[in-house]
Amino acid sequence: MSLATPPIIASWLLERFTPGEMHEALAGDLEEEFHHGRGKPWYWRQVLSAVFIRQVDRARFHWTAFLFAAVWSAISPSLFLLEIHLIENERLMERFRQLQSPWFTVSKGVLEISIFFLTLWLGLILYGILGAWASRGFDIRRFVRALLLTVPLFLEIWMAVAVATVLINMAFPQRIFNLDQTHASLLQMVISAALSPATVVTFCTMVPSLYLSFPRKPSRSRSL
Amino acid sequence: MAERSYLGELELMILLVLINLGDDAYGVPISRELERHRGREVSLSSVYASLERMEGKGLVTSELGEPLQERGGRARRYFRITPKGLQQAQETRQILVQLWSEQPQGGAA
Repeated sequence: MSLATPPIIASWLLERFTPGEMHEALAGDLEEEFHHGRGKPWYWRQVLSAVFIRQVDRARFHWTAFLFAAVWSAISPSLFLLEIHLIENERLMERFRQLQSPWFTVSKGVLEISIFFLTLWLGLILYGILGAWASRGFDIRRFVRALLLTVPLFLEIWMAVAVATVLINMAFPQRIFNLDQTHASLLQMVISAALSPATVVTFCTMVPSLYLSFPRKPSRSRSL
Repeated sequence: MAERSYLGELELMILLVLINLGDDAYGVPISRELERHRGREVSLSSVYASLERMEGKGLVTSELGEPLQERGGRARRYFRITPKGLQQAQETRQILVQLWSEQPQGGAA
């Protein structure tokens, strides 16, 4: 005997938005009831109710993350514009405009994606710091250690990227980065090549990563 | 002093339904019993949310049955009230009875 199939979209919504230990039992109960004569409207009502209840439950459990996401989403457009204003200066844009197709589009796209990720990372870092501070878990010494370790590591990566950029530019003159090779010294070229939003994103990623990689200090002080 | 949690209306009803259904207590009959007594449709997900919460508190236990074709190959999850759940249901009943008995005459009208 072939059984009628519950609405596919509703079943997909149920599977996608109501994860958890009870999901299989709930989905099975709904299908069982559907085969015992409950109609499609009933199935849809039950699924929408399940999705709503599960999402409210999740929001209640992770309310700080939801609150921060809402606030950060509200302010991020203006932050995004501010970052574009700070990073997309005329000189850089002029350099982009001199590039041949499709490098102009690629460079502009990479810049904007970098700014987007910078905004995202700033939010994540701020959330991590605020979360650690609120739970009294933020360790300023650990943060300073991470910062001090980041600087030399970051400088190495920064210089490697910059040198690679200059070398690529020398190999393909006037094609990719269009650095001014005629009037600038090699050092100026390296510094110029290294100044990009990607380096800021890298730095902002390294500090919290190293902070989290350091072991936590024991919560209790040693007894005398 | 240990923090005391009280049962909500739906939780108390579910515990009483679990006692009535015995070994056959899974989502479908539980929600049908609740619908029969309340006289309106019950959301299965709200029943499961309550059961999940009460399982976390140790008031009910659950175990999976065999997968069935009419359920799309999914298993039923059978619930059972624990001694702690039974005790809490009785305490809640006593509190409710006491509160009702203290109502002024005509207050329940």
